[in-house]
Amino acid sequence: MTFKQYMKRAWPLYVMIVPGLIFVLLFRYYPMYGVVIAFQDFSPAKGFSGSPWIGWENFEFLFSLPEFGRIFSNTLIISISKIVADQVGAIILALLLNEARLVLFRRTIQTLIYLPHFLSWIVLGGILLDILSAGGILNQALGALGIKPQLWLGSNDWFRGTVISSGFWKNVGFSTIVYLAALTAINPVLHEAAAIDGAGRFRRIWHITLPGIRPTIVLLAALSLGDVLQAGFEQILTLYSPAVYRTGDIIDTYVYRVGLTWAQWGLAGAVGLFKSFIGFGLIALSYWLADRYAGYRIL
Amino acid sequence: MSKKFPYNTAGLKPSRRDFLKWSGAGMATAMMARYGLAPILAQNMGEIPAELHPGSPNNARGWTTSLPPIPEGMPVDPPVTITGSRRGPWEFADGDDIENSPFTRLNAAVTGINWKLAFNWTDNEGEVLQKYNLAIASNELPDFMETVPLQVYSELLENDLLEDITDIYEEVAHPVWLKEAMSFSDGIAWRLAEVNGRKMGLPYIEQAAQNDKVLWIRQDWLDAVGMSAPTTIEELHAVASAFKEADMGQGGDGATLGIAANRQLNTWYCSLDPIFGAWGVMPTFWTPDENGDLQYDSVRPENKEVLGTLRAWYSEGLLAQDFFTFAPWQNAGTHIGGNLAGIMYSPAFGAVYGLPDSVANDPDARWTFGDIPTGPSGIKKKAWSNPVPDTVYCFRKGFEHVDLVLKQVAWWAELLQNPANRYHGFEGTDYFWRNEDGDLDPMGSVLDLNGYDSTKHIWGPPGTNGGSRTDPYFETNWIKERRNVWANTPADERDALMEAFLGGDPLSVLWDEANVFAVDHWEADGIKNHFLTVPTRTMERAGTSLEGLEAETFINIITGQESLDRFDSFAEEWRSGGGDRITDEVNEWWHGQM
Repeated sequence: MTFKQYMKRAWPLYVMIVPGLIFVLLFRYYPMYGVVIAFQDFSPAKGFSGSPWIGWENFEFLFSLPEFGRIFSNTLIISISKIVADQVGAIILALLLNEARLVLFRRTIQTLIYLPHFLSWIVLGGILLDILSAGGILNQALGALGIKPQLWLGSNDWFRGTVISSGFWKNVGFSTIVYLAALTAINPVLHEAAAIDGAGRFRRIWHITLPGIRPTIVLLAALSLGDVLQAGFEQILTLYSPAVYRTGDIIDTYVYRVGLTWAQWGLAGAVGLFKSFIGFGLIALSYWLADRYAGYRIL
Repeated sequence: MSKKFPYNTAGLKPSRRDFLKWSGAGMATAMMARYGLAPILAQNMGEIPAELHPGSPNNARGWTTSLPPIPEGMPVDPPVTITGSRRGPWEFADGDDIENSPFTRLNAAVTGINWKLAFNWTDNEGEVLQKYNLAIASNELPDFMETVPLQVYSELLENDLLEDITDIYEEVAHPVWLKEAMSFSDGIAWRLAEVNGRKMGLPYIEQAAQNDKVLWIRQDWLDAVGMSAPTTIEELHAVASAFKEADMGQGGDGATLGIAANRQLNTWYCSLDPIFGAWGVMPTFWTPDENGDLQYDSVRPENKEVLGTLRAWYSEGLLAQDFFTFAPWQNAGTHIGGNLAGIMYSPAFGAVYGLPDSVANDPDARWTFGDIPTGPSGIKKKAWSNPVPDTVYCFRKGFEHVDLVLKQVAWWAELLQNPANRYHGFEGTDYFWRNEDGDLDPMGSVLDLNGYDSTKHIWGPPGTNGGSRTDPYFETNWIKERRNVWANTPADERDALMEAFLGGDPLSVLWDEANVFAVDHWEADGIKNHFLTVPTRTMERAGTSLEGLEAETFINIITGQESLDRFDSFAEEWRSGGGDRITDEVNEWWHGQM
């Protein structure tokens, strides 16, 4: 088939792509020119063209902040813990649900754990504050069991744990559904054959189910690397307070305070660019990992 | 209680006898003598067609709004058209719009000015900058610019695009409704509008003492423990301890708190600023030291004593164990609404914020308010809330009719702000204005009890979206009028306006009383933040870091996570971490001001 013949047949498809392409260019690529403010002493009144250029000053300032080490490591610790907890938890939940015999039970649980995904952090923050406060339900329940109440949101010992577990509660349902979908793709014949050979449930999970979803596990874990600097801005903003800056202040919340109080647009832009740069590198790495270990490629 | 009716200016302060005199039948005459106004003559009123007259033509028990005399030389003939910018999307009924409403029609009849909309923006902050920048770039500035943001204002000044109104202001500005009204608190209203002694715009003025704290306390709890309202910090501690001891609150056993507080120590609700004030310091404020330089109050050694006191209170359980995880607005629901605390430092509007929930959850709850207690050396201070936000009304360079605008502002200021004129909008005007949350608020209904929202469609002060007045005592004067004059009118002689305003629930009445009280103490008890300009260079850079350090340290000292002596090393860290440079920059600005 010549190119001419091909185009004669395929041109409507190309035409159909055009609106989407324009959309992406207009709303995803065109705004990127805004990154120039990372290299400017930006003032909205002067605009992109009028603001003075200051080279790398915003970046130098960012890396020289006394808190930079703290907010960077908080970000990494919280987000990596979240990724690990989320993936491991989702796999375990998916395996458990997959083994459940009663369809109604499985569906109900699946819906219930998926529900928090639809609530916004602003709403959840208010609820959590109430539940986790010094005299809140959780501490009352623990008190009834004779356990000492804790300041879940106010102590540096507990804050990260609270953030990670509440994030887990909100997001695990979504990841579980992805794994459940992957589980349905495993050929039941394998399970039947193994059962006939005398394999119990755990052996079947170990030798059939887990290898069956290995590509999905590697893929999801690798792709989440790109989010490693996203520790959950909205969540932490609604839950934290100055007393837990030491363990809970992340890059995004710090930049939010800089931007909100002192209108440092250029610095906020520099941080955004820095995060995108790291994120881009990690996505490239994860793409390579996904290809190497899960055979996943886009092209 | 000193009376600030109608003005606070020393030489003109009326005595208690004056006040009582005004409260009686002689009020109108006394007011006229006071303001030097000509009696409102019949022919003057007659010039304004009846259908343009504000008030209540259709109300069964209607009232009359008195119109001030028409300013000299007005209405101008031929009429002039003035362009202006406005904030907010709106919806007008019956074919009216922002350029053609009861306001514009009456205003045209009185002044001869027709307003024309140049552009408007919504409450989105980015949009106002865009619109003004576009107007600057295209050289199409409106004649009169509403609430110009600081960044735009400095750009307009730098490029010499604003009319210097100093001379015309001196000549035509109304002596009472502009000159005197705007001179409160050593002329703080002009801090932005005046540059190098020249007036480059009109100030934007909100209401006096709007966030000044009073001590809110449960009278029923005081009665139960057999104590009276505290007048010193020591007594406050004793009362708070007694409330906790007797476990007066509604929570579980031992859940009662001494005093409601949150993560911001100096803030707008459930604040602790009057406790710092009792030692004469105000964290986060810049105040003059004995040499006349500005100092940053958060690092002054007096804080250590306050922190030591709060630290002791926290360890005794008088502050919530996790108070520092709460934002101010969250106190309202949990600690106040949930009846865990019977003491808070909140503004007058605390009467209708938090307290309604408290009363709903405990019908026996009886709240009262009082003055803030004094410190060990007799100091009684609190954070002074500034009624002048960072914005200015500006005039385009070369605009010829500044005098007309100033006269219009004065005429409307008198109509609205002098309670004797009994202005409350135009009956039956069914307009809507988009509020901060993006919802459309009804406005303009005459009997709307939500205050004075029917002024948003007025061009320029004392109207505009946001409700700026020329007089910060406006609201208090109206409250005094209601409480002292209208309330003394026999019930069967009251008109619908009086009925509507006097029919408030007990908490609204408490709000009014607390407002008058707070305004009376506004100047005497307030510690002012004297740093009132754009952030300095080092503040922009190191501000977040230093603010975080301060918030973290203060909370950690109170909760006992760090020692009290940590305050000294904090002050040192603050200074070396950029604070010294900031202090120099602040003082450079401060001395340049004088």
